[in-house]
Amino acid sequence: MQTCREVCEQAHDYVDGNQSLLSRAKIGLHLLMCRNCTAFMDQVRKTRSLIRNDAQPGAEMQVSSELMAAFARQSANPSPKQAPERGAKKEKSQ
Amino acid sequence: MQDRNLHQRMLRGDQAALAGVYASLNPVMVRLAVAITGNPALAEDLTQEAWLAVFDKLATFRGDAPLRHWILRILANKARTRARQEGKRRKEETSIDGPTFPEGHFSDGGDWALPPQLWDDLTPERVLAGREIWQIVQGAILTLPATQQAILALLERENLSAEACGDLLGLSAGNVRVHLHRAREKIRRTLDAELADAERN
Repeated sequence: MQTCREVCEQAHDYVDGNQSLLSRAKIGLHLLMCRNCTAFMDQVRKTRSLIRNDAQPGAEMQVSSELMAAFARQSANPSPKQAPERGAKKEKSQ
Repeated sequence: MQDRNLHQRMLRGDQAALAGVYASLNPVMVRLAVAITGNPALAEDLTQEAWLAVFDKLATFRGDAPLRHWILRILANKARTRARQEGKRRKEETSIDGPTFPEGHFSDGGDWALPPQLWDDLTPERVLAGREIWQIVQGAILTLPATQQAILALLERENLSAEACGDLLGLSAGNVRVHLHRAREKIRRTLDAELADAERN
């Protein structure tokens, strides 16, 4: 049986689903019997959800007029298309 | 917006398409550049330079990865190059040594010494209604080291994998996950303390 500390140290991996089936089962078993760890796991889930939904910190951020002008210039006079960069180390598409 | 559609619109010079990507991605870019260079002022400049490079290279984007990730890659390469040229190193400690939980959380036997409170009051309705919850989360994020702020933005907002995130930041995927968990844990503790305060008052 895992201790509460051991369960809590794995809590973020548990909510992310980054664990083996066996590890998940061990934690699940502990949670069935431990109200404190269940409460902790609930806190971890809610924290994760709040961070994920803490959307759009720059929602009001606007493109500067300088940058927008550069975008317009580039669109009007696009650079000659370069060779595809699939094999290039820098700035390749991932 | 579909990635291909977004790319096509940007190629045509659609300013609304650029404005949409910029509004949501630029803050993530700045956090990434700060994490790599350790210099907020330089990070702002590099982010602007990266956008110019994006405009210049837009026609070469092949769609092997999401456009937003391709833009982040351009910035990360620029930031790493500049940091090397200027002899700058990430100033902050990126060590992940040390305990996840502060002293006193658990007994020597590993049981709870300070049991967690129930967050039953933190319902979705309350979260939606209460701006203060967002402010607490935002405030807690801003107290994190730059690397952890960038990791939160890249993983939680941009949905990058730990591997892709580590690639941008020069960290292993394992270290990225540890940083992510430490960051979340600090935010959880902040929320817990604030909710306990609210309960008392």
